[in-house]
Amino acid sequence: MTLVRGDVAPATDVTTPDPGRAPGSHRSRPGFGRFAGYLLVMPALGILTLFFYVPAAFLFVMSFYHWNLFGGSAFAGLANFDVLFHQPLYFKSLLETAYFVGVMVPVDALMGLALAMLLREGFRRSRAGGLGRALVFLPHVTPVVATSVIWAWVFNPRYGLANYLLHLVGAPQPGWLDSATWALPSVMIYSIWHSVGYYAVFFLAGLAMVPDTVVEAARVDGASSWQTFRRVVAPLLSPTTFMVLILGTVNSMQTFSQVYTLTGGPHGGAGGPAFSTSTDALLIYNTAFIYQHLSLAAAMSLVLFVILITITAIQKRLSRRWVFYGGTER
Amino acid sequence: MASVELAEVVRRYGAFRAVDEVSVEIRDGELFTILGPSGCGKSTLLRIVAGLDRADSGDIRIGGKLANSAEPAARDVGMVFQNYALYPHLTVRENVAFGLRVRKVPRREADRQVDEIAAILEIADLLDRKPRQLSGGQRQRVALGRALVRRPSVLLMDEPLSNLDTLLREKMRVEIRRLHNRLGLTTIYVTHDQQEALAMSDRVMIMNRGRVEQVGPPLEVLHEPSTEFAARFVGSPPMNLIRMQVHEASETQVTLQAVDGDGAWVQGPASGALACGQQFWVGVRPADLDVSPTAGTRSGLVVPVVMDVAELARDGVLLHCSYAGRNVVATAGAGDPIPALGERTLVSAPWGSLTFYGCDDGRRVRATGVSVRWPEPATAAASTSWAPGDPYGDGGLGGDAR
Ligand SMILES: Nc1ncnc2c1ncn2[C@@H]1O[C@H](COP(=O)(O)OP(=O)(O)OP(=O)(O)O)[C@@H](O)[C@H]1O
Ligand SMILES: [Mg+2]
Repeated sequence: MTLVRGDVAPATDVTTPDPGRAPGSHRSRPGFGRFAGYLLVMPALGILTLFFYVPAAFLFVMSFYHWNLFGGSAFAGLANFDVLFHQPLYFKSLLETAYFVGVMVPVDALMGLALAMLLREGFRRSRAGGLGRALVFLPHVTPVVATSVIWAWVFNPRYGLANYLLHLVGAPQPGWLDSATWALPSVMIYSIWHSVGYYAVFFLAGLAMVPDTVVEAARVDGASSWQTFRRVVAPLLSPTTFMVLILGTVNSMQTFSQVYTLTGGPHGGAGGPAFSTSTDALLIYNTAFIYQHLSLAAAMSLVLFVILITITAIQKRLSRRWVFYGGTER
Repeated sequence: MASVELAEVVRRYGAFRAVDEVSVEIRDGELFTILGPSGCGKSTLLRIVAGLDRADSGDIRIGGKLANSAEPAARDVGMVFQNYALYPHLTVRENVAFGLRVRKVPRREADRQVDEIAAILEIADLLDRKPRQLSGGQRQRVALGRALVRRPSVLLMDEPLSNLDTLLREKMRVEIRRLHNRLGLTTIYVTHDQQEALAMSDRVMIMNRGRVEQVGPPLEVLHEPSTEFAARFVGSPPMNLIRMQVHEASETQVTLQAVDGDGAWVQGPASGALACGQQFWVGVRPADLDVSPTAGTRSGLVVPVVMDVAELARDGVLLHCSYAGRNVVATAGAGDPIPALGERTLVSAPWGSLTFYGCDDGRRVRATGVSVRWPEPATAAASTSWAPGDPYGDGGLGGDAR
């Protein structure tokens, strides 16, 4: 490479126009360019700092203290974690969270994908496609607290819709939210209703990126529908699938509102019959605001955070084996 | 290998007919081109043959078997798409082998067949790459390999060369023809490039607005366009067409005058009565036009024109003249005088070189009384039409004229 005079001009020289740079490019005004970026991210960064980084750092500190809201806090070292790891309820809540996440993530992903494919095929030649997408997405934009009240009625063992329908077909009627076995699955059913459209929209976008001609080429090549899906569509959809899995894990692991509304408070206080819906997020809430153990709750949040980071990192690592990031040439 | 028969195939989009009663038989082993302007229904027709689209009515037979509702896989066709449509996540080898693998051909056997086709297409050293690591021409070969590896009985190609630059396109079309000679596959090749169609096909079908305008060997299509549309479309430059009506007609003689514009006329022998006022498109090839201030003819076509632009073409000079606001193109041979810009002159052509098309249906007129030129079928028709050199005698295929 040959050096032109302009290349070696000091970058801080703002008085002489730099001949090496295209006129009119934003770089020709370094004074503005340099700060514009910061200026533009400032509001977002400010909000993040105020409402996320500061509380997060606060929480981190808190988990190593005996924290008292009314003064008299003292450094506790790992004592909070020690208490935590000797709590059977805590392990139970971790297991319940794992159960919840373990069902939610695959079901959300599979049903989201199925819905997306149905929408895409069903409305391929129709103007109702937009309406279909809106309807599928609708549950996700309803407030959890409001719609879970409706679903609490659906799940009511005596006059709820669910058992009424089961009664009509003569099927056994579980106690739903009143049953230690069925309380968490009830929350799952509601949560899937609420979130599946959200993931379907991701898959719709992903499917739109799969070129029609590539799928047609597979058909001409003699691939069955399943082979076309398995060998062509699924690999091209893998970046979307990966994102859905990560988002699904993070979201379902932190699920709180519906657990609280459906099985907290009025439905047994501590999270379902026999703590059967006492997921991590609910337990953190109860620990902090019902039992008033702020630092214990902080420690639990920290553990949850570490678990999330770890799972995400593992997923990211595994993704190298199955996610295709090549993109498609037209 | 198989023939492909289409019988009155129609494909509608609402009231619009993208393919309108197309009937044609593509013979076993021939390279058949579908040529037509953008939007005339070429791709739609090809997709119907492939089974990717359904005809609303009409029959498709492949190898004699009715295939109207057969799945693409069951039709035993290979297809090359315009944008290649390679599987982006698979290597070249996996791309080519895909059709074999989904048919449960064992891996080793598939590999062997891929190697074989890769050698023919000279892509053997690309087999481990992904499609995005290939150039356009290489992708094109891979797409061809993928279509050919299963040895389908019919090969379909939808403008396979349109994304390549001119030089590569000319090289690839010879290669495709060479491959066709070697494998003898029934091939349907869609293009909007007439040079490509004329250069490589056994037969050409010209389509317009979903309808078949003409089917024939390249030379026939080039020299004897059978409809007004074909006459306007084929050749570079194509025929001049002037709308004329019968002015005087006797048992033996007919005179026509231009419908709009002044002073252009045609006179010639007629066998049978023509009604006064009957209109025709009179077609004349640029090469048949003679440019001279004094027309020496009493029979034939004479048009007074104003000289406009002279354009250098491969084998002569194209003279663009204007007549009644229209462009009339004539070819001047080497040594012919070239009129100056704005000069008034006459272009004329002998009776025998004129072609008449009915104004109502656009069909070439043969039986209405005007005796129309019907030259001997050109010598080399159909067999070696793609041979190198210029097989088109009259220079109708200017290398750079499009
Ligand atoms: N899905 C569709 N809905 C409505 N009209 C369509 C549809 N697909 C194609 N058409 C119309 O059918 C006609 C034929 O389309 P087709 O793709 O076969 O043209 P083509 O000859 O291949 O053109 P090109 O050379 O540009 O590829 C066009 O006028 C197009 O607008
Ligand atoms: Mg097309």
